[in-house]
Amino acid sequence: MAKAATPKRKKEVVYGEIENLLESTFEPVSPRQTYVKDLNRRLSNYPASLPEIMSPRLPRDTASVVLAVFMGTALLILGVRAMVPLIASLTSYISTRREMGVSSRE
Amino acid sequence: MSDSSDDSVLALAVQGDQDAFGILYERYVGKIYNYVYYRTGNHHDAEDLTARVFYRAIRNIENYQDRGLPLSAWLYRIAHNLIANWHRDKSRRPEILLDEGLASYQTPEHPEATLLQNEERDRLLKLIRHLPPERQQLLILKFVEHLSNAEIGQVMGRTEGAIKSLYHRTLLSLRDELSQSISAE
Repeated sequence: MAKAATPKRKKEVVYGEIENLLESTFEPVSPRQTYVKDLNRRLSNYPASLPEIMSPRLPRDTASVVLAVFMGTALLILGVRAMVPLIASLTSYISTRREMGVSSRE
Repeated sequence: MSDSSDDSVLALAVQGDQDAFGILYERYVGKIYNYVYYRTGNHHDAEDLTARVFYRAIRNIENYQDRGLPLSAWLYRIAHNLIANWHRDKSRRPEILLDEGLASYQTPEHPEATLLQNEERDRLLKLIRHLPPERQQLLILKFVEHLSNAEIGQVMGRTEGAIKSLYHRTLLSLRDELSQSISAE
């Protein structure tokens, strides 16, 4: 009987066995006491102890700066481009008025 | 204050009381560490990520909203998200071995039996590592934290029935894969 059970067991793992195996596999682990105390100390000094790498504000701030510089540059270029036809129109208008002023005096 | 319930300590922590947060930290650091350890497979990353979980928690504790869930659910969710990011960042690197924890198992009276047990555990852990993250999360919460299906549902944002169903499917899947693995030898 035992001989017959062995190959069967090899092929088919019983549902309950998995639970037992999981139970023994996931043995609780403990963090190092020095680590626990050190982290507690660092947390009690928060935010001064916050490592830069753990701060999500850094990349967010960097991204904001890059975005602001990009937007500023784009606005500057667009502003200059908008000014060109405006100045051209203004110049044209002034020269036209001058010409009209000269011809009226004549 | 250290004997007070989570709710009363949490209420103080939300108001910026760092001592209160320290008490919550002491209550949950072990649980979060265990969870992270079994999701990452090594103590080094478990320490790093556990620290990140509590830094994120202390940063956001003032915005904590009580939705009727235990504080642990909030902390596990933070851990889950950070681990997901960690796996994404590490995806280009070789797979993490889960052997480290097995080295600590000691039953010197029966070394051969221990070896076989360790082999089975090793095999099972490797199979678990290939499960989808949510299934790994479920197994860890159930077998490491010994949470009920209802509590796991709170952590994972699912109903108790959905957790039962997921657990059943996970065990069936593990059973089949373990059988295949044994047969292949």
